Amino acid sequence: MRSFLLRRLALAVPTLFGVSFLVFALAHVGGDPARAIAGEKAPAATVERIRHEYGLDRPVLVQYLSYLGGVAHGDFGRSFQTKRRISDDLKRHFPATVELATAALLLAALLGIAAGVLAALKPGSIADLAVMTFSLVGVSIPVFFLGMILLVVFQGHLPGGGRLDFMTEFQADRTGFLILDALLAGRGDVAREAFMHLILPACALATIPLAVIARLTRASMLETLSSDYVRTARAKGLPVLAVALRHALRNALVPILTAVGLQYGTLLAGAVLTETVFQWPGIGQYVVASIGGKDFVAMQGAILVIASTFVLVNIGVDFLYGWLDPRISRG
Amino acid sequence: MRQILWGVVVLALAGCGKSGTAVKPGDEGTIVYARGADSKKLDPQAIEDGESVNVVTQIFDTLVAFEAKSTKVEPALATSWTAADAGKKWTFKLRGGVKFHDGTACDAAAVAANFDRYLNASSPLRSGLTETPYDFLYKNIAKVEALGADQVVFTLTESNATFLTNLAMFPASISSPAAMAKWKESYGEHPVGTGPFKFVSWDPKQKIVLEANAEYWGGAPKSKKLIFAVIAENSVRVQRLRAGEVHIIDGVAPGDLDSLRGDPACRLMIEPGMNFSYLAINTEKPPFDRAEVRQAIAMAIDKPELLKLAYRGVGQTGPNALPPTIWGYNSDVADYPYDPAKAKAAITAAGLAGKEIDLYVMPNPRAYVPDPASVGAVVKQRLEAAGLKPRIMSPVWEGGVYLAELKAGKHDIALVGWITDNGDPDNFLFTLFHSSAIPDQNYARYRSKEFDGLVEQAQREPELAKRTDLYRKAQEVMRRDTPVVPLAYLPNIAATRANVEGYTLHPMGLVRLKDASLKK
Repeated sequence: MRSFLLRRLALAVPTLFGVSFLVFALAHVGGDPARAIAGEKAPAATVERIRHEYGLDRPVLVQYLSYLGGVAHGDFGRSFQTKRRISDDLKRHFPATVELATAALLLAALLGIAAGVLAALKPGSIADLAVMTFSLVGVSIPVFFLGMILLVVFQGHLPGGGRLDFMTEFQADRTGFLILDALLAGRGDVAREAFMHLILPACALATIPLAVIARLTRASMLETLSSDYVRTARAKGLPVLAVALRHALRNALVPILTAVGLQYGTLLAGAVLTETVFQWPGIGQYVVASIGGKDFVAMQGAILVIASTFVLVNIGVDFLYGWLDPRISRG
Repeated sequence: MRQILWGVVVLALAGCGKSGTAVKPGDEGTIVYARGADSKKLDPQAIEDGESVNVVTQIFDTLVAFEAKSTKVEPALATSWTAADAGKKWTFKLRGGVKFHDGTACDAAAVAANFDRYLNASSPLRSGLTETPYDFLYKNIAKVEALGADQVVFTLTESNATFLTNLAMFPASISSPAAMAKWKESYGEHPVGTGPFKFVSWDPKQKIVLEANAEYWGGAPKSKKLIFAVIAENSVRVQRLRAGEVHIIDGVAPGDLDSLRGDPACRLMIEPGMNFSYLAINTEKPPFDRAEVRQAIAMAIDKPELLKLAYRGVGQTGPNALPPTIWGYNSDVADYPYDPAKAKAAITAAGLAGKEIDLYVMPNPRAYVPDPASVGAVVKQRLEAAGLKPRIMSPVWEGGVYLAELKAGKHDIALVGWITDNGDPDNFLFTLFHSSAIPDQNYARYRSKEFDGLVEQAQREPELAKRTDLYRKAQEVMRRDTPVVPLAYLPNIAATRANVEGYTLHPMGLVRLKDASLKK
């Protein structure tokens, strides 16, 4: 198992190098960061001065290597636009995304697996039809549109955005995870408020993974339920539910777990639209804002963090695989 | 641990309650102002984005300030001023006893130190200040000296009629030199001024919190606290105003006007603005180097129709390259009438029927053109009717790509616009159309000795009446040469909760919240 993990970690290194190079190269296509920094109204001479001061006139490879040198020391540089340290920005924005993605995934996994099992127990029933219809709608509905609907429907009952009310003063400066920090600080009121703020964006973000997980659970359960050992267990007179949950689900979980793991990676990286509708100060919104401002140092830092998380989550899923089905890690 | 357990219990019960959007005790004096993006920095000398400017305006003062409803200047940190040496030497007398929010004195030395930092690259306070996007407006200041504790003397390289209005603009805000020395490159996150509100905290992409400066020389603000919140989506911002979660919003899109009009809990504010959008015709590129071809373009566009279709009827049209809210606007200039037959005849006579041209249209909305794609579509259709074959080009706006292509002269015709910096006609006519602004903001690449002479003379002329005359003539010359087709002048639009009092829109779009409060 250890060599398996080490092998996967070793593979992650070239992957991340590849990502960093790709992002760096893309950032240099189209647009002029020096012009973006100088501002629309600045004369050409100022733009040239800034290009020189920021080292943007050096060969791209030199810029890339000097950037990597910084990252190796934990220095992501300072944002062109705000002059803030990017590492400080990431410490603030990344936990916000993790909080939202985790809430959405928990919701999606719990409801999705339950719905999938329910549908698989009686294929063709009304419950099955309802689950399948819902999951089809869930996969197809644009998050942006759903977000707006949720906002209108729950206006006045649930907060419509941000991690806290505008008037609440609280800094999540211990772990960056707002609910946890509020509890650690003994601020139950803030934790409650943060939880309320999490509900609508988490629901909006959960729809697609929920639908995917429900469909997959159904398919996987149907396959397992028709296998010989399940038939044997049923023949021995075990109740349907006990067979489904104790025997079939455990085996059906392997492909579901893969889906959940991959969904988590996608949620961490792809919460941009939800973050925009609900003004969630996560890393997706940060990337979009930095692309908008041609702030490519900020963009690189954020994408590197997202890519690293994606890779780590996948390694974690592989690890869990091995645990659920020991044949995999030996193979 | 017990706290965590207790917290979990609270969370478990959370679903039962109502949302925490209601005003909590102690929040009554707080105004929440929502906008579409976060500020970038709060260092007045380093910014150009409106989101930063709007916050800076609350924290800082300038030597002179724009009047509440006009672009005339009135005393602020300076109580009086005199000009000598044919307008090249200006002496300002400072208001006594004014202190920065950090308790240090706002005296003549502090004012001189601010301008030294802005204009002198070797200033000891310069650390971290690499971009000064508006310094082009202050290049004529040769030196700034303190004369005793309460007088400041500006020496200019040449007299310039816009000097005083430029001093009323945000880049000329006076910061605490002690704070700039303390925070260095992070000063933009810790601004310290003398204004009606003090900076408290900044939660990036979420909110900036300011509190009232009770000792403000102009009287304490009406509200205790001010929160600048970020709500990126226009429609979501409107939605949350209607839900009562915020009190004032800007950036109201034309499509949201009707829903706000129908909501008695909200108040819509529409006031004339100081901006315009226009088609810049590349006068260097044949056949548009001929005035008669450019005039044919002007006659091909049905401006009232364009306003109705592409601007949703909000705003007005006119013949001049500056809005009617700016003094010096020449209302005697007649616009080219919409005359498709004549336009087509002129295009055909010039042998241009079926000619392919590049029509540049920015891909995303700007304050002066909320729906550029529609403007592009309508203009394209009208130019086709006149016999041309326009091809719409929309390079991205971000990173200056769009404007860079215009500066390189790639366009035949381009949709652009301008919002005033200082409320002076010079900031339209000289900045956008003087030949020295090629290849910068002069996207029409307009070169006219006659026009250049008029706007140069107006820039040096101290007397308002004479300046007005010169600008009126300059607009006649432009009408004849037709380097641009002005399309629309748009109003400033904001919306508030109905119980917000004391908030008015300034014609320059300045946001001033000192007198804003919530009716009880």
